[in-house]
Amino acid sequence: MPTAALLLLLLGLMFAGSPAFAQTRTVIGRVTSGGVGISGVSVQIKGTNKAVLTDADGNYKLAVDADDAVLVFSSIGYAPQEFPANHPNLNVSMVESDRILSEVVVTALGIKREAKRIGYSIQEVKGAELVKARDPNVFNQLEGKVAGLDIGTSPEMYGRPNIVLRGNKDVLIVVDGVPISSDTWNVNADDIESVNVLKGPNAAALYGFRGQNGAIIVTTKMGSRSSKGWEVDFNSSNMVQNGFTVIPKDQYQFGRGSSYAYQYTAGLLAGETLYDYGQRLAIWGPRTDGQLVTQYNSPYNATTGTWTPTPYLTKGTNNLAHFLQPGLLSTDNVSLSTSGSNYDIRISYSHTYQKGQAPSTKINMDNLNLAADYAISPKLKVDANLNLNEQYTPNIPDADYGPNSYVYMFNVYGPGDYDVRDLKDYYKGPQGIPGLNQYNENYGRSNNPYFMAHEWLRGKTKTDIYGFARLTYNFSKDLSLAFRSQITTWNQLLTEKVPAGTILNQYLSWYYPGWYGDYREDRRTLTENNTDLLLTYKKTLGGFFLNTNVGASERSFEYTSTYATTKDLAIPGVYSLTNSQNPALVYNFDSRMQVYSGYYAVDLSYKNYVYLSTTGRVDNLSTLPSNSNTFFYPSVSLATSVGDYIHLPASVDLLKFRVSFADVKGGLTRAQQGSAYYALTGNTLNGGLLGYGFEQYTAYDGPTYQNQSAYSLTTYYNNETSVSYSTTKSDPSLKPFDVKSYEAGLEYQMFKGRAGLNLTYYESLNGPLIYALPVPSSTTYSTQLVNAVTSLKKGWEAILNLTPVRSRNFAWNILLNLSTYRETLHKIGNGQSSIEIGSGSNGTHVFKDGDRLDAFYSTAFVRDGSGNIVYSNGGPLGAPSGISNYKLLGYLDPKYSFGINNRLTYKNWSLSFQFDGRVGGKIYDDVWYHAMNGGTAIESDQGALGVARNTEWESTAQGTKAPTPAYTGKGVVITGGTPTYSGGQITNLKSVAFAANTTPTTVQSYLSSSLGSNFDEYYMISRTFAKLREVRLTYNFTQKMLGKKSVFKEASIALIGRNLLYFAQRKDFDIDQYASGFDIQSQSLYGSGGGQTGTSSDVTLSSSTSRWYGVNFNLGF
Amino acid sequence: MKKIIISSVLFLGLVSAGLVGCQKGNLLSNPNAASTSSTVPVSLIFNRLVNEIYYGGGVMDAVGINSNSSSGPAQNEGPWSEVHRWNQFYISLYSYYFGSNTYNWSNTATMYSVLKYVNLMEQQVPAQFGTTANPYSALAYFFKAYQFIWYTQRVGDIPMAQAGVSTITTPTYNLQHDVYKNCLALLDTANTLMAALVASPTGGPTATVTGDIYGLTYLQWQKVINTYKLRVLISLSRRAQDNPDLNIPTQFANIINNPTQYPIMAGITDNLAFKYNSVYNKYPISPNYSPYDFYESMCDTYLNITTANQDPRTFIAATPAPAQITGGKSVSDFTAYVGADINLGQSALLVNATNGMYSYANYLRYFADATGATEEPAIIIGYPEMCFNIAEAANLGWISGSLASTWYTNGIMGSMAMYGLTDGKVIPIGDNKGHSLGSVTASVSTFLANSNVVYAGNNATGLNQILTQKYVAFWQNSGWEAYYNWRRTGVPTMGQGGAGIGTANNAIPVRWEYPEDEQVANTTNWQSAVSSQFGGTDAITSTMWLTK
Repeated sequence: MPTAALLLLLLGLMFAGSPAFAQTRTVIGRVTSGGVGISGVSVQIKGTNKAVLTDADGNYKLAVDADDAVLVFSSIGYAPQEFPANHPNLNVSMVESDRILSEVVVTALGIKREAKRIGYSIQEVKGAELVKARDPNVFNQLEGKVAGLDIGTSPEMYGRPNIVLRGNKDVLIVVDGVPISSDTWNVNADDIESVNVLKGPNAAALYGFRGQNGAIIVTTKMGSRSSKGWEVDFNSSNMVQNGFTVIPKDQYQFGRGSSYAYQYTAGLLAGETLYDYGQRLAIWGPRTDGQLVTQYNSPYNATTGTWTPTPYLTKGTNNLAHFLQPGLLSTDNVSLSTSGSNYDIRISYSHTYQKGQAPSTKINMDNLNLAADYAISPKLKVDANLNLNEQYTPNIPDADYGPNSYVYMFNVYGPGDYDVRDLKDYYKGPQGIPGLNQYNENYGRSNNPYFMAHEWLRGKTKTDIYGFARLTYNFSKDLSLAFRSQITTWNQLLTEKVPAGTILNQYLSWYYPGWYGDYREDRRTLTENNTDLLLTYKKTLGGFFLNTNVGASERSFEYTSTYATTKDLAIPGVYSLTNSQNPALVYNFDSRMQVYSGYYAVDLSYKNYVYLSTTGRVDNLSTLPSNSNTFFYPSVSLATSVGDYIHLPASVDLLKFRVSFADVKGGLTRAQQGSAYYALTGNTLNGGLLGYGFEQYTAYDGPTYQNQSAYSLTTYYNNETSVSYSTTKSDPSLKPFDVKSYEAGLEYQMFKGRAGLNLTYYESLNGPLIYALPVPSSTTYSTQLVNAVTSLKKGWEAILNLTPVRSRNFAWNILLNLSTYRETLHKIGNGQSSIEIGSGSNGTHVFKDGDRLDAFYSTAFVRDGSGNIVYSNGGPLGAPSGISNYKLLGYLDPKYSFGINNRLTYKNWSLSFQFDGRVGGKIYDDVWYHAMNGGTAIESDQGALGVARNTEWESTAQGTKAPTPAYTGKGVVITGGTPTYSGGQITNLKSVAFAANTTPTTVQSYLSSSLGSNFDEYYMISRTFAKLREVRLTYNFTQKMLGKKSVFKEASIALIGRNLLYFAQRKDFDIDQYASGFDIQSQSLYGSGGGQTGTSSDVTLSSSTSRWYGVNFNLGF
Repeated sequence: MKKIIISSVLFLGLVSAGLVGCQKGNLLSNPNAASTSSTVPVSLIFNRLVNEIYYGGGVMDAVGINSNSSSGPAQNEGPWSEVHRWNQFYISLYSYYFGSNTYNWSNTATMYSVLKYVNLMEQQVPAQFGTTANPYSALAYFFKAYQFIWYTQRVGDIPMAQAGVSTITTPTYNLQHDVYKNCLALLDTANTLMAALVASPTGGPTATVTGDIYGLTYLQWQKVINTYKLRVLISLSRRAQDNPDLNIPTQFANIINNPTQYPIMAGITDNLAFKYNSVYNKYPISPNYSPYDFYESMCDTYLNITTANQDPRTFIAATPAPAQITGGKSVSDFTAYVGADINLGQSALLVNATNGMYSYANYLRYFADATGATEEPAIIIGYPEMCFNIAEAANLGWISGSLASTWYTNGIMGSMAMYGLTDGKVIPIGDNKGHSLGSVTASVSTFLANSNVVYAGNNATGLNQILTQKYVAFWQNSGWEAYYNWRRTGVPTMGQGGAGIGTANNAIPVRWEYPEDEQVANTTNWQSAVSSQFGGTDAITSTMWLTK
């Protein structure tokens, strides 16, 4: 373990030359944590310099001379403990002190530094925390573990979690000092030694503009010393995925249809007797009273083409449960490591297999990590690391709004009038024709779920490699030079096979009922090389200590992508791009970039009083105009640990103050990139080309070419070549963006690490950004790219650790993370006093300097003076449209995020559980909206709506005539006067007369047309949620139990669970995925929300996270 | 040892050299697109331009993304778009699929994108032609005028002189009067330049403009220019008397009286019309839209006119109301075709439609085919409208009054020709899923002989007939023209006053608010335009110079 090795070195240096003492007796023992022996623990006789370190198995042996000697046990990451040496055998159980007490942390450039010397905010998570209660993606597991870091857990297979650090979505990931371009799936938890989160640009200035929002620094394991030569570790997690954390509640009384009428045959088009293509029906059909209705599985006479109606009954109250199967997540890792006097080697291989809950979905992942270092001579060292990650799946489900999504099919547009098990044979007759048409319960809206699972396949193959090789030459003890070359490269192929007979409705312009399907390929390749040279010089002179790093690097980036789709297959079932009836559509997007950088980092300290760090970096960036593409930005930080020079009460372990400032510049790159079609046109595949499915974004960090007014090729009419010219006006004098961050912190620890508080306050001035500022359309452009718009973000983070109980056998540790921030519009600049931010025609607002940027303005109910909803024509009255009539519906950012980790250790048992969540803010519940619109939501058949719905059904004579409207909205109507409006509300209430609303409307028209999507206010819910995220109950086998002669060095077994409980105002969609509300810098990242997330135009029908249960085995040889 | 050192250094050197290494060449420019300084064939820019005028302002650049909503600023102007609900040709029964019927308008889109492409085209022309004697230079004037007028008639004063000038980021506004005056001059220049090209056509008289999607000859384009000018002049009818400097009646008469100098359309083959095809540009509604046919009905504003006049175009547009057929009426009975009142709320409309009260759109003509085989092309500027514009001018006395009756009939017959309607033409009638209900035999002569239709002379009744027949001829074409003509003349009587209209006073708005981007980024100029025209209130109920 590198940290242990470092400590050993430090201690070795400290105690070199200590005089020998007379030895009177020997104390031996084993130091463990949760039953596992820990190496490198310092066992020191209090008040002396005499100390030893535990060996690889945690054993120590120490000669003690004084009778009243007290032994101090200390190690990085553990609370120091003291025990009287009054027994020849003293076994000690160490308690992890959690991140706050870590003494050495990994900072930018992979430099390990003493925590108390650091002048900015950094927080560590141990790799051991991440290997048991597994999520397929290790980054999902960081949620709640670091103050200020919010992970929007992605429940989708190979879905990229939304990593949000202090509200910023674009966060750099660095592995062993190497920035990687990662979709987060290629980092294997078993290889992680530690994760250090550098929370702001203060920490990451040295990574350049990529580190403008901080960085997640992953340090991987290295070879460890073992008496047995090679140390072998085996870790296996097997978990069962059973059920979603949240499932919308549906009504099952009413079936598919409209206006309480339904006959399968009503949708048969002229000349057709089999397929009900002519009806696109939500769940507004008849009540399942057993009346005779022609249904999809009613007897059909092929000779006469006639159908015989059958009783209409509720048959599928459990369709989702019947369709799903338990998922499985199996992660196995075996690692071999060894080290000698001049080498360290570690080889690690992992296999991850996940079987999805939907049939025919699975993912596979292989990960091979090789790390080695070798001291060629005392002065020359070479080290290298290579990580190979292979992801492959024949099919992963798609989750979005549309006929390709199970959420859509079962949860929001799924009736209970059919039994999904009847659809298992998806080519069953009379409708089904193998390879050509499916057997389904409807032909206007969605597909047979089994047909989708087994025939509509979305494959993915990705090879992801990163690694480096480094040569370090130590000229002297003080001076060294390192030359490193690093590569991160991946290539990815996404394929989609759309089978013949897939129901798409109007979504694809060339779709027609009974079509032959499609095939598409999305290929992306990224190659990036960083080559750098780093000169390090250390010097101690008097009380001064100087550590200087001077470096230069070259970053070279190349990206190519292609997106191609057929346009209606010529031969069904042959998934080839050439097999297209109409010419296939092909798009390609390539980009290249080069960054030359020079940087320095100087740490200067005077005795123990004060630690000053300063960094500076010059970048030459190829994406910016030549007159402004070379720029400099600095950072400086100051830390002081008061206890080192002022006498503090004995109970105080540490009192540290820190302040820092950092500046980052950069420009015209984006963190993520979509398909080639998206990259070329700015339109998403679902929005622009296909009308369904989701745009897949991959890590990019390359050029946007946003400042290049250019013609792109396209076609509008009859496949004739045409051009489209930028709507953004370029600016040849554009300068880099500028982000400044100020931070101050306090660290306070007392009672020997039993209580600690780490507080951080920060302010960041994000801007002037490179911003596409609206220009009047009379300029013939929509926006102009300028240096404008600065937001001010202010935030707090607190980390509290407590150890209420600590005894030899029992310990209880609590770690609490809290964070909050607010972002306001600081200054627009460029002579403008207001800007419009938002998305499309719903939810947009003109913001002025000083406004909170996460304010969400959209459509609201018009109310009279007493707060009653104003109705018109039976439905809520809509205020005049337009931006000035949107009302503030709430703030999108959570008020604060929290995570509470508890760890209870009793002898060999340990129980950990984490409870985390976010409090405050508002979010749009799209699942609820669609379920209400579709007549599926249980609320559409409850209360006054439920009474009216049943009354209306009774009035239709079994669905043979139109219902008599029976729902009268509670509110008022305008009976006199002409209202005038502002902010969506009547401004002349006094001159408008109101009376109670008496106009009834049908429940269907009320929910689908009147309320519809016209009043976002109705579907805004509290963003507050909390999750019991993970629970681990571990039993560690002691060496004694394993037996002296056992081949096993250590062994443990753990029962684990994830996402066990979910608390929220409404439990129909998982708020967890929406980690933040607004971030000015995220505007160009992805999505259509204009930086806002959680609005009606942003939230969509994704899957919920699942509950996982399982068991973990860990074996060490 | 040395070996290891050397091989390590070599290894590292190779690793860094073998990878991407130092990038060469221009890394600043987008390698996936042509830059402003590239040679871009003028025809490609022209292709974009001609598409713009079919889709409507802001649509191709997706201004106001939510085009399915009445609150989105950019509206597609093609058939079965929301625009044709506001023209009261059909209505939506169900907000979720067809949107609402309300006139809840706010900010307008603009068509300045057309000006942008005209400017880009004019940049490319000198390098590629070296002369302005080419159709692109001539038509540039037409497109400029088209887009300024498209915008000014929606709001009032607009930036014209300073619009699209690259150095000006806050263009000042020009008076609506001046915008029209200048646009009429632009159209005159366009006609003059086209005339020179028509006189000596390089590719012969049937040559078309490369990049054109409408397939018009040079002469036909010249006709489009003058026909469009007639539309603009008649649209100024309320300002014809009090603005002598505009010479509106004189300019109109000049065109009619000098057919050699100002050729105008001679029949529907001269129409500027968007033609659909089977693969790339399908008709906007097609069989895969059939599930939605439950949720739209015909509007009574249109059907009341055609059924009262025994107009065979009734059978072109609509299916009979189901309840009328089950009630025993024949498919040829005009009273079986019933439209819905746009004043009603959607709940009531859906209940009534479910009970079979309303006619649906003609499934067999508009839904059953996607290729444009059964549907008429979408007219942007057409012959029938031109005939009615001339008839109107004659009725108003701008030109010889005796022409009114002729052009009135020409307009009707031009519209009939669009649908291939002649006496004896058999029209299949189906329900809204295409199942046959029988057929009818059209009688154009019966319609022409109807007392409502026979031209009543150059009086108010005659004018009303002209405008009514113009409205009927606008069925699913010519974008907003049906609405603009109603706004100018009050003909036909459009449904309003009911809650279905959805505005504060339930009246149809008479203009749009200026675009949000002008309000935010051109604040001073916008404010002064609004205060000089509307006393400071930029409202959809304000009356502008054009419609005062």
